[in-house]
Parts: sequence; C-alpha cells; structure tokens
Amino acid sequence: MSTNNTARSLLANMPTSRIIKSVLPSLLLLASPAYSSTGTVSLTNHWIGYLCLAIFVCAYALVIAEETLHLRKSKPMMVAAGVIWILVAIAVSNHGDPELAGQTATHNLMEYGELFLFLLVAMTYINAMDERGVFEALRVWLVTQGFSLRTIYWITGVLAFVISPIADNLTTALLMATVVMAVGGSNKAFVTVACINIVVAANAGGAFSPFGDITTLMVWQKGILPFQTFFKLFIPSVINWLIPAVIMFSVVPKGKPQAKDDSAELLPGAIIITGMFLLTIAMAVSSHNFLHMPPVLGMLLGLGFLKIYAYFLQQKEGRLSSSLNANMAEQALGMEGYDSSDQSAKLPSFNIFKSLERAEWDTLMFFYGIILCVGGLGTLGYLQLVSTAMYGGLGATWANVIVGFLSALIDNIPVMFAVISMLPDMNDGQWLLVTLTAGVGGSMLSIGSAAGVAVMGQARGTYTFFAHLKWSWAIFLGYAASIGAHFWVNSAMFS
Amino acid sequence: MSVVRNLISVTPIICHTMFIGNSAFLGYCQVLPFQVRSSHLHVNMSSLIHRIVSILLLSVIPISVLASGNEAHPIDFTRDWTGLICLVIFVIGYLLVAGEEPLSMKKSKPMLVAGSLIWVIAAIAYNLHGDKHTAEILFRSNIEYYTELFLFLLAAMTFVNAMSERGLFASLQNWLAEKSYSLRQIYWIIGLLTFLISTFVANLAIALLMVTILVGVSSENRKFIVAGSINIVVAANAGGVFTPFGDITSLMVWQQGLLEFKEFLSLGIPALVSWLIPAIVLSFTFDDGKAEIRRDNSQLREGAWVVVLLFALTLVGSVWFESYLHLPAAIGMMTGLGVLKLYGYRLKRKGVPHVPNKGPADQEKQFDIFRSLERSEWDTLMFLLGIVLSIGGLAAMGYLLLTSEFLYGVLGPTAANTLMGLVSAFIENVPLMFSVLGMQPTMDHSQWLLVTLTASVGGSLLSIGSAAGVAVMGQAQGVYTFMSHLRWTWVIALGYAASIGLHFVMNTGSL
Repeated sequence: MSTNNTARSLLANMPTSRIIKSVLPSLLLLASPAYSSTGTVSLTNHWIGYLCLAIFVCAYALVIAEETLHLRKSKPMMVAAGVIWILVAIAVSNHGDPELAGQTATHNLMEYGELFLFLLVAMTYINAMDERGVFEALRVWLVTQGFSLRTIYWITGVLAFVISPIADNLTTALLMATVVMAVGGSNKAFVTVACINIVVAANAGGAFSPFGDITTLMVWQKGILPFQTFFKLFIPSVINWLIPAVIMFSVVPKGKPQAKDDSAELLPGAIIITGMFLLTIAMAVSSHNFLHMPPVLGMLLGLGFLKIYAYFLQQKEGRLSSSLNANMAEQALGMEGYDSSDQSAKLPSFNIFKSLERAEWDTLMFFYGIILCVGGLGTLGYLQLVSTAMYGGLGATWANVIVGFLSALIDNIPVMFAVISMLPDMNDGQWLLVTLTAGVGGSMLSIGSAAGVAVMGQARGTYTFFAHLKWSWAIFLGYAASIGAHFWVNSAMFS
Repeated sequence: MSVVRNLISVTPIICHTMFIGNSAFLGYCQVLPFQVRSSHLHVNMSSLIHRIVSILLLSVIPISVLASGNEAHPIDFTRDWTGLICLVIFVIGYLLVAGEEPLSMKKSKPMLVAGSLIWVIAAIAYNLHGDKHTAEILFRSNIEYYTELFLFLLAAMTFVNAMSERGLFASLQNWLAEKSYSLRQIYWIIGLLTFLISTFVANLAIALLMVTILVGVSSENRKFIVAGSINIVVAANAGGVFTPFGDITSLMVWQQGLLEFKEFLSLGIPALVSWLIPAIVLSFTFDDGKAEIRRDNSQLREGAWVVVLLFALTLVGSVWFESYLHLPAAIGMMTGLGVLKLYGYRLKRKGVPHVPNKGPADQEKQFDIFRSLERSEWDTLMFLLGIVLSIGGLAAMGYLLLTSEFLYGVLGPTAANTLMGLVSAFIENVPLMFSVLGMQPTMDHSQWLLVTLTASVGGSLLSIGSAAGVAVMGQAQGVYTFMSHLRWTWVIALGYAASIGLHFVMNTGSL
C-alpha cells in the first residue's frame, strides 16, 4: 500500500501523549536558570540558523517526494534531526551556554518517549482486538445484513464518526473502507463517495477527543485545556461531517446488493480486551485528571493488565493460540527490517494491520525526526519568529484557520507541534479552534490526513486524489461551517 | 543531568539490556535434550539467587537519574503505608519474574504492572501529601531515562542486524576456518583476539562474535566449545578493564573524572593475569583437532564494509555527541541509524537484493545470534521499562536513600571493593558500578582502580555474572551452561585472586 503519509495517518489518529518542552508548569519547576521558559537563543540571522533551516527544508522536500522516490519519510528526517542538533549545539555553546542544547534535546527526547509509549500501548490494544476478531466480526456483520447502498453509506459514516474518537482515525477509516468495498464492489460511484464520507467522518470524529486525534492529544498533554473541554467541539465536528455527507448523499446510487455470505466469530476474550481498552483510556484520563501524572502512566498500567490477561488466556486455551502472544506488542510492532516469519502462523483473518506494520515504525521514527527538528529550530528562535509573524501579524483567528489549510497540504503533526511550541497567547476558544482546524482541515484533500492516505491505498484506483478533489468544495463548506459553529456555540470561551 | 548523560554511553546500554535479558537466554540454554535435566535445576536456582540479589543493587540505577536531573526531592514515605505497599508490589512482581520459567510467564508482564502500580501509588501518596508536581517530575525523568536507553538500543540492534544480513559474521568465521589452524591454535587466537579487541569494543559484542566463530569451527567437539566459551568470557571481561573504552564500568569511572586515562593502563598486567591463569588451565581440557570449514554462501554481500564503517562512525559519533556537544548519545545513534537507512535505500535503488536474516541452511539457525536477540528483545525492552519504573517509583518513595545509607555505613573501601567483585559474579556489573558511583565513597586512586578491576573481572566467576557470559550461554546452546562454567570457577577464582594481589603489589605504592 502506499506508504506515503501512512505515517502521518497513523500518528494523526493515534491517541498520543505529549508534553511540550518548557511550557508545562511542572516542567518550569525543574527548569534550571539556564533553561529559560522559552529555551531559545536568537540565532535566526546567524549562518548556522540559515543552514539548519535549509537542512530542514531539504529533508521535508524528500518527505513530500516520498511517493516518487520510494524513500521512507523517516529516513531523511532522522538524519536531518541529528545534523540540526549538531549545529544547534555548536551555535548555542558558542553563545555562552553549553548546557542549553543538551537540556532542550533531552526534553525533546522525553516528549518523544511519552508519545512513543502512548502509541505503543494504543497500537497493542488495537492489534489485540484485531487478533481476537473484533473488527472482523463488525465487518462481517455489516456485510451480511443485506443493507442497501444508501444505508451502508450512512452506517459507515456514523460508525466512522463514533469509533474514531476512541480508536485512531486510520484504523477506523480502513475498517469502514473494507466494508464499503465489500458491499459496493464494482459500483465505482458508490465506493468513491462512501470513501470520502468515511475519511471526513473519521477526521471529524477524532477532532473532539484526545484519544481520537494526535493533534488534539497534543493540546491536552500540553495541559492547555482540560480533558472535558474538548467535547465542546462535538457540535462543530458533527457539522463538519454532516454538511459534506448530506451534499454527497445526492449522488449515492440506490440499490440493494446481495448480502454477502461470510462468517466470523469472536475469539475468547474479545469482549474483555475491548472492555480493558476502554478501562485503559479511563485510567489514562484519570491519571492525568486526578493524580496529576502524565496519561502515559495509565496507558502503561493498561498494557500491563493486557499482557497479564493474555497470559491467562493463553493458559486457558492451551498452547493452541500461540499467535495471541506473538501478536501483542511483539509482532505488532516488529522492528523494521526484521523478518516476521511468524506472520504466516497468524490467524487467516483479513488483518488490515498487516500492511501497516512496517509503516508503523516508519511513522514512529518520522515522529522522532519531526520532534527533534522542530525542537532544534525552536531553540534557534525560528518558532518565535513564525509565531510573531502569524499570530502577531494576522491575529489568532486567521492564523488558526490557516493552520487548517496547512494541515491539508502537509502533515498536521509538525504544524500542531510548531503551534504548541510557539505557545501563542490565545484564549481557550482559540485553542479549541486550532484543535478543530488541525483535526478536520486535513479532510479537504485526500493526502491531508492519515485516514485519506490509507483509504487511497485500500481502494486503489477508485478513491483517488482527484476523486476526492472533486468534492473538496463540499468539504470546504463543512470546514467553514464548523468554524462558524464553533464561534457561535462556544462564544463564551473567546473572552 | 550530566551524570545521566555520562552514564548513558554505548556499551552500558547494550550490556545492561543483555543483563536484563539474561533469563531469556537462560531459557535457551536448555534446548539440547541431554543436560536439560541437570542444568535446569541449577540454572533455575542460580537465576533465582541472581535475580533476588539484583533487587537491591539494580535499584541504584535511577539514583543518578533522580539525583542529578532536577531539583525535585523525593519525600520520605518509607514508613508510610503507601511505601510499604509499593515494596510489597515490587517484591511480588520480582518473585513472578524469578518464576518466569516454571510459570512460563514472560518477565516483562509482571514487571510492567508492578512498575505502573508503584507509580500510581506514589502519585496517590504525593497527592495526599499535598504535592501535585514532584511525582510527575520524577516520573518524567524515568521516562526520559528509558527513552534514551530505548533509542540507543534500537539503533544498535538495527546495526548489528544489518551487519549480519550483509554476511559479515559468517564470512569472518569462514576466514578463520580456511586458514586451517588446529583447534588449540584457534583457542588461543580467539582468546587473544577477544582480550585485545575488548579493550576498545563492548565486551558483549566481541563475546558474541567470537563465540559464533568458535561454534562454527567445531560444532561437535563439546569440550572444546566449553573451554573456548569460558576462555572468551574471561578474556572479554578482563580485556575491558584497563582502558576506559573497553568496559562500561571503566568508562563510568573515567567519565566521572575519578581517574586519569593512563591510570587505567596500570591495570593491564593484573587483567592479563586474570585471563591467562584460567586460559592456560582450560587449554588442556580438550582434544586437539582440525577446524571445520563450512561451505555456505557466507561471502560478504555488497555494502557490508560500509555498514561496519557506519556502525563504527556512529559509535564514535555518539561518544562525541555526548562529550563535546553535550547532547544525549541516543541522538547520535539515531542519526547514524538514519544514515544507515539512507544507505539501505541506496542499495535498494541499485537493485541489491535484501537477504533475510535466516541463513541459507537450517542448521545455521541454531547458532544465529540475532534470532535469539530478536525473540527476547521486546520482552527485554518492556522488562527494562518495568524495572526503570519500579525502581524509580521506589526511589520516589525514599527507599533508595535508605539502601545506600546502609551500604555506606557498613562497608569499608577495601572489603567493600573486593566484595563488589564477588557480588558482580551474581549480578551484572553495570548496576553495581552505578551504585558505587552513586554512593561516591571517599577512596584513594588505588581503591578506585581496585573496584574497577573487581567489578569487571569478578563477573567472570559465574556464567551469569557478566553480559558476555549470559550472551555466550544463549549462543552456545546447552553446551556452555551455568554448570559447565561453574566447574571451572575455581580456576577463574585463582586468576581473580592473583589479579587483586598483583594490583596491590604493583599499584598501591605508586599511587
């Protein structure tokens, strides 16, 4: 499948933990005098600064050209991160503070570590649920019911919107796309529109939940907004999805395809593992809200429980299902370049994740590169510069709307990470706005979100960039309307 | 902060993880049908002891992390009910880890639960105490520490994998065999090479490489493999002692600025003796013979040397990152990994096929180092996370302070340092050295040299005492076991005693 942006998609959709350097009040507590609250020196006009910028631009150009070069996006980013930090360390120590670079870099690494562990747990749960047949059962149920095309259109849309706040957008979109293709089959017109519908719904659904979208999670982790505040984005998100969905509904063909003959059964423990996942989410939220700890603590505890449960499950089933253990965390995140010879021993399920396994590492490594690159440029003072230009020059509202358009073109994670690192002085309403735009802006182009890219790979040749572009106006209407709705519904927060 | 970064350097991490992973390796030792029964019990017992002893000393790892990284001070909860609960959780978790083999429960599982539970309770305790921030800061420093370890390991393992995929190890082995040396010559060549190379390469890496070659040249001659394996382990541990680059523990002492670079060289003769005594004795224990030549497609594949070069540059670079740029070494490693990946891309574009790591023939599998690494790596990494969290949590409750105060008070330097060597036979020497450095006892230079010597060389006494030994056990499956090493412990102990004696004779006066 196309690896382009899968990474983005994965990350864009996975719940993630994130702390941003220098800003968390708690981190300020431990900040040494050398580590100022911004952690920057101003070297934006220094030759090293320009060099770093050039390196970053080159690396990002390679990322954009991933599709044509078949060069995985993590590779140039990792190298760029290292080179930028070498230069930053040299520049910063020449300007008097040899410790600053190391401290900032270490903070960036820690941010990455939390994010990584958070993703690891979420991914392991999603994989475990898949291995136990949860998604397969859902797919088979939908396919065998003999729904009409129009019913399927709405069901998949609603399910995508409902599932994506909990699971990641990517998984949700892929799952629903499988259903659409199984039901719609050769009906190209239907598959195209239904896929767009799914992508928009998945992105919109993730926007109002920190577990649904990585960018939302970043804002939560940053401690800018409390967990429950994000649900104020619910109505704008619904509108964002409903408007294009209704418009596109006009072209959904009528007709009732034959019910497919298929069967699947839940393996033992499927329900319990799903329940444990919900419990884990609850633990992550409460470790943040009540214990004042990073959410990743709750996630790790949940992972531990899952592993223990898998042990007992395995004991009960005898040695028969060795694939269960293999699938949890080990195979699920097999290292890139390692041959996973156990792959064939897996259950013969449709396993939408198999193709993603390799992309997962690519994504995680890409993330590493992005965080360190942006962190390095931030240390040199560039983020301050952009922040001043965008948020100072244009005003918060327009800047945040532009963030949405940017996220349709480039990965929304670096965009959001940059915004959070700038930490512009905005009220809560504006923070919600940028959360919304970064989350749903990506729907406007098929390459703008992880979900879109993944579905493009799944429904190759049917749902394409241009097929999506044909409906971008409708999605744009939804985008505009959701922003308007946010200003209207949450007007109290803009003071 | 600097302490943390100093401690995180190339070798410690690898060895540390190997240590953590050792019970997985212990499991592998039982593959061969004969010996299973006899070795099973002992290995089990020894690993139990090993693990229980390491509870105390492992716990010192995060001391440096916590003590150096920030101004957040743990509150003393050691007599509080919350502290006691944490202790109980930790003990239960550790007992389950010790019971890994009978329960066939992977050791990462209980540890991860224990680690997170301890932190949950620690967070509750701090919140009840009215402190909403300290626990978070301490927890994050744990995560930070783990992330650096993790990324470092990830990069290192990928490199080793790439080298193996390019056929490097197989061809080294063939080269040695084709010279048609006798087994006894090979025994000495391997031992000497190990001793010399380990002065600047991680013990673990060199031991793994050498044992692969060893098994390759004579897979049938069991006595040869046993003697050769012990030889390798002892040589690797001894060789690392007298330069800061060869052994993590030496590196740690050096980086702390406790000793000058050249002072380490005075350990050269004691180290040599500690290897030579057992090596000479063991060389009479096997029958001489001819080496086997394996006819497989073990020629180097395109790009093998480039990968090696990249790896070397990466290792050097990461040290440079740390000592000159004051950046985390992990970033240096990851940059190197990025370059490796770019190089892999170039190879792919040139149409060079990727050869999966399986090896051409099935019998090859048995001796493939990296298969075993692969199998245990996730378990290991997660176990490491559990350990870091558990110990960090206990430290946050104030227990570590208690432990180190106890150790300070009871032991004087000479007795303590000699004891350290004996203890390091039971547990890995890195956490041990962490603990010593964390305590910062006031000792003169010869005492610091002594503890450098004993911590490294003492690990040779038992097969489980060093990362090299554990790795070799995993590699020479069922032939070189805990028991077969134990049979020769007396010889190694002779070498150990001789080296300490020599050190006192040679170095006490002059320093």
